[in-house]
Amino acid sequence: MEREEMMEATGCGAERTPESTSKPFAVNTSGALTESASAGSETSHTGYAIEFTDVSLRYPGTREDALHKVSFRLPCDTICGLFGRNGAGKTSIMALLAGLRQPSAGTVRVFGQDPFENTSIVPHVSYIYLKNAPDDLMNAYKARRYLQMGALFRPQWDGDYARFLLKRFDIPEKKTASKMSQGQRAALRCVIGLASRAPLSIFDEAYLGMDAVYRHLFIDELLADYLRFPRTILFSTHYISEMERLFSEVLIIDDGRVLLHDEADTLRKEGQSLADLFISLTLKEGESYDA
Amino acid sequence: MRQALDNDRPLFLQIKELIEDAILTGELAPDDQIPSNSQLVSTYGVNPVTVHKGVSLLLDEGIIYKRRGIGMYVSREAPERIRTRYQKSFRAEYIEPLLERAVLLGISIEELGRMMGER
Repeated sequence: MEREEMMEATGCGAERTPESTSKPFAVNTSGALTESASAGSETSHTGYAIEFTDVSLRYPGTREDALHKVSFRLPCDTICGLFGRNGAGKTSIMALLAGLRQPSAGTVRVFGQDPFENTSIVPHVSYIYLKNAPDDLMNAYKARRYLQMGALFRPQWDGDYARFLLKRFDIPEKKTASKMSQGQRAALRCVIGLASRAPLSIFDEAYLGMDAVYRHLFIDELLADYLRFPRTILFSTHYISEMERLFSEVLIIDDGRVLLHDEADTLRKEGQSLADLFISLTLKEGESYDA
Repeated sequence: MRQALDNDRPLFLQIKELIEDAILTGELAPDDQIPSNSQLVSTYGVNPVTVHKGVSLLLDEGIIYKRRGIGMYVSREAPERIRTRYQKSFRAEYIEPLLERAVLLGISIEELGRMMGER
């Protein structure tokens, strides 16, 4: 029952999901993270999976902040859509969450702790992003090898589920990633992201290159697995209209700043989809757009 | 039940309405079990929080009732209650736009009445 231990250990049970009461996540067990999270230290868990407080990020050799005083909090077990134009700062936010970068100012907390090079957090944050060049080092292995790596590095890894997903996406276990089609490679990465069952699962344009059938398959699987194992999912996408039903929360950033953060159902009004809203908020002067 | 949802109307309302419509058409009769939240999630591909919100509204309005641990069922009063509520908005939602359009097309009230009689 390792994954249930983790869900509890992070303090991220299933409170926010409707059918959670029948789910066994409330069992308290001890684990390394439980101790650190419940020890009553300043970093103890607050019910938020993600907390950004005045986070700024400036890349070396640049004169402008890629992120400027970004603050937002994401409750546990929500599926949040992260929308922003190219260069708005989506990937910077996600890299900070994955512990790959340190903010220049402000604090980042994941399950109450600083994720940067934090070995008690990093295994529980899966960060799936587009790595689609066939000659990328990460594409040198057969599909099966990635599944073995998942089992090694992800405490909540479900190997049976991973193999089930490979079949659904028609990816042979013996196929080398560099020889796959673009869509298959993207699907393979999404399979890893789903089967990791990480309490914080980040998908950064991860399905780019998938055809419409694959994308729908991915969304179906994500929702079905989320019902079984609620977790916090942050999902960046340019396909807003196709994906917007997936989200319970929406975070819109522009130019390294938070433009808006609210519940999807509050933002979606009569005659205004999330996609419409996004365009009206981020259209720059002089630009035009016809729906 | 209705198949497609629109992105430019609150989704929880659409979930609520599609169950109400199924009750109005008799597809769901009193004491029938309505689809579970997870069925609605997978059928319509919407977030579970959204589905929960729509179903909760039905529960609050007494359209459905809960059997603990089993599921949600259509209440006996549901068809009447839904009918009464929609009758109230029928004029504004259907008759007014119809008349407006008829005037635009030069269709007289008498003609309109004849068309309806033919059905």
